[in-house]
Amino acid sequence: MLFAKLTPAQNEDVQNQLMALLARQAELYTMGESSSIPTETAQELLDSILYTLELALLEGGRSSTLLPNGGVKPAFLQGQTLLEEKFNLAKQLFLEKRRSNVLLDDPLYRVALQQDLPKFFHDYDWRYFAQRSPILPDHLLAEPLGERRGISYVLCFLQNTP
Amino acid sequence: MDAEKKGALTPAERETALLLACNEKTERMGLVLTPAQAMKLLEGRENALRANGRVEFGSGILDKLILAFYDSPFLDPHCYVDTLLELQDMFYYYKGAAQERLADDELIEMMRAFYDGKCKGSLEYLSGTALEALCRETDCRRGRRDENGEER
Repeated sequence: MLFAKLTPAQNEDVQNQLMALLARQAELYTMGESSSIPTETAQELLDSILYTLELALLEGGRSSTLLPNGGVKPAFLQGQTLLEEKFNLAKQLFLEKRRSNVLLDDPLYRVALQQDLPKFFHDYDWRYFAQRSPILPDHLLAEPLGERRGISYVLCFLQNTP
Repeated sequence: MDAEKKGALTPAERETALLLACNEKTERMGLVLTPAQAMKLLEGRENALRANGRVEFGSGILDKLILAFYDSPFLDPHCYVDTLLELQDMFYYYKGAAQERLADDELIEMMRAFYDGKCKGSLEYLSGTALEALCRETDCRRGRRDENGEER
């Protein structure tokens, strides 16, 4: 669990910071033109924030104990930097794989490389919906995609395709 | 508790104060909200948001609705609060019905224009006819833009 090491008081502090960050993300998402958003959109924005924070904690070397007392936003910004780096790396890998045509004999991979991934790279929005992922075939992968989501899922797919 | 200790206002108190501050402008039209009426409007906001599957950050749109409608010749001071409650309900409903394509200010401006114009102060007509037509038109405009390949 993301905040498992926190005390109840720290947890409450982090929850308050998360709500403030969600309000800020909603404002940016609507470009300040709407004071309210659909519940589903709010839920997705919150999922994206948690996904981004998780990335900062798991891959950015940041401890969850640094989140209380104003630590959520710096962690979130670090997570966003990591997301952008991963996105650029994944896109580069995708273009290489597509150029090489290695996998085009497999019909599922052909669909992934020619349809699903181009759409993903066109639509993916790491600022607001970082957790979104396409459905990709993993039957030829050395490492299963498991519970991964978002750009981590796509990057794992591309790094492990034969 | 902490907010009280520091003398700061709670979010509910802040929102109530924001609505009561509108009285300065509206009282010349005979429209004055009491604290109890402001609370009723804020409760109505919670219900309207829940009923329309929305969440809101910040102080909402009630003050904007008040300032947009207070000088309408059709606004009856005896039905002031009930009218605001209905306008608020309508606002959140049509934000969703227009599929988030209308900014708050844009929708409020259109509501006022219809209310004073073809609706002649009828909330029923505003809700059931004029705004429905507006949403259809917004949908059509978007459809046309898609066919032309422009960004939505």
